[in-house]
Amino acid sequence: MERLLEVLSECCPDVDFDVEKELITGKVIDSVDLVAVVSDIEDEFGISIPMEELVPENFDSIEAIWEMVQRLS
Amino acid sequence: MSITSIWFIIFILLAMVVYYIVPKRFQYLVLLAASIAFYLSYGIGYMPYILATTVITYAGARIFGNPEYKHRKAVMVVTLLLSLGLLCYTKYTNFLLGTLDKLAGGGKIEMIDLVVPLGVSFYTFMSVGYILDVYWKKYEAEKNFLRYATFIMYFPHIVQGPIDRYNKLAPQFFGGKKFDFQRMVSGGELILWGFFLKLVIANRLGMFVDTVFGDVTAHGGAVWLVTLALYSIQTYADFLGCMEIARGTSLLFGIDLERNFDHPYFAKTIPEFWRRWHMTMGAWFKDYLFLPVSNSSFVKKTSKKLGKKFGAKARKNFVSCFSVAVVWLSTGIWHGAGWKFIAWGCYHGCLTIGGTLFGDKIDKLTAWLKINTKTKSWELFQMTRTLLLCCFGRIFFRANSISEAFLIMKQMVTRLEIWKLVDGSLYELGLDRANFMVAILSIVVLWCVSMLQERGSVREMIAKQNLVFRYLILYIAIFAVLIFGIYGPGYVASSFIYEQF
Repeated sequence: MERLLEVLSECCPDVDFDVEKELITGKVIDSVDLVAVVSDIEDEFGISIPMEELVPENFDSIEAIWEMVQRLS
Repeated sequence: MSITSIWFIIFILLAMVVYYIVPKRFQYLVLLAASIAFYLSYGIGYMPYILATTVITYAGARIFGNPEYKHRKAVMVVTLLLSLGLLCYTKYTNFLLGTLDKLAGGGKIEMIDLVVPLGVSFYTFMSVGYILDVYWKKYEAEKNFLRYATFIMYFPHIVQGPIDRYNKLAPQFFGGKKFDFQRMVSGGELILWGFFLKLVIANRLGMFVDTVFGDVTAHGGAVWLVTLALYSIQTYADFLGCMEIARGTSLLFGIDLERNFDHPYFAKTIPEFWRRWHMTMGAWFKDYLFLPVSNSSFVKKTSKKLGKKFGAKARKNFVSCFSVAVVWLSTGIWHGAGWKFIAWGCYHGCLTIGGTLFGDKIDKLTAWLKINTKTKSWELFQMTRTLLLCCFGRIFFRANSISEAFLIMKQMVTRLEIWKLVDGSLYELGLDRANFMVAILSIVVLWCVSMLQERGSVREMIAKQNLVFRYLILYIAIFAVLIFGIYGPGYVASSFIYEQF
């Protein structure tokens, strides 16, 4: 999860990923930020995130993202 | 059957009687039968197209909806192409032939006699949304063809949307609905409000707008400014009116349709305007075009390269600008087969991209000028700026061609003729003084209702009032529509601006 936090913090340095639990539904990160997040996670973890995974539930918190990464790894 | 005609009222009353009499498990079949009857009332020639789209997308989704199926992607692509192909064939064939003919010198290529099916853009988009959602495993493919057909053909949303999502709308068809008097009142109020918007405001303003656009060389800047402002209100009242009639009608059957407007003219920026105007279309483009494009390998790879060379901001700007450009070009094309719609789409794309690229600089400039951006006056300025930019863009939308649009712009700059605002000339452009006054009063009513709606549901506010007051409002609204509605000869009340899309 630390690796993930590093990737996310590099993508969106203004966002506190430890605190924010509604990243998408709370509009903390927009769809353009999401593209960078997806792209960097794919590179870092060597996975491919398909379109069906691009739903708010998978990106609302670092825990949700981590769960998705583990599922797709 | 126009949705503003007495026949439509009789039709929904009959449908409602049958709907609430039959056993609940058959209610959706009543909706399907009513939807087919409604669609046929516009002409039998439209039916094969909607039927083809329904059958193709239903069958395709049934095949690739099976997660074990090997060729899911191939079948999905074929289904998508067939569905979009029908839209393109009916809507854009003559546009393409006309363009090719012009390039070839003119008079060499004959146009094809084609019908553009009613609501083709709307039902195609709904079916494409369904295809992609099933492919992305957001929900399972519908097994029952009649249930799926009810979703596609549902008559309240077939004329002008909203562009509904299967997973949100369809479950409402099959739950079984009881007759609810309060819901009937609520639906009736929405329909009445829709009639007021369409018949009293939109049709009245349309008479002025049509007259001015009928002879674009005859008017100077002042008249054009008034016309563009009135056309913006006409479009809003026309589209919102249709949506309120659709939502109200649907509510009579116990089904909630998506809201399509959230007071767009209170928006402070262009992107906010588009989040408030035709909301279901914006959401559709975001989910089914913006996200797939911005998550495509091309955009990801290119943005990453740019990010390494020029920094994170360049990366973000590229993703945003590229995807926005694709979305706005598509939005322009979706609105109509003509270069003027493409120009209109490009105009809004440029405004949105401009906002992305120069937003920071504008913020810095306002800070440097020491403008307090937390004041009502600044908000008013932002709203006026957005409104003016949208009004200006509507020149492309309403003019007959791009060259005519540029001619209008030229007239606006070279011939101001400001005295025409006060010398009575405005009353000779399709609306006499009395009708102008009715139009202005009606717009004030629209504005007041919009302000109230920003605070909460107006229907709920009315419901809390005393019986006498509620009836008073009801009678005033009915008589306003009956007395001030424009139904007269030479005006086709049935035609909505967005119906052609």
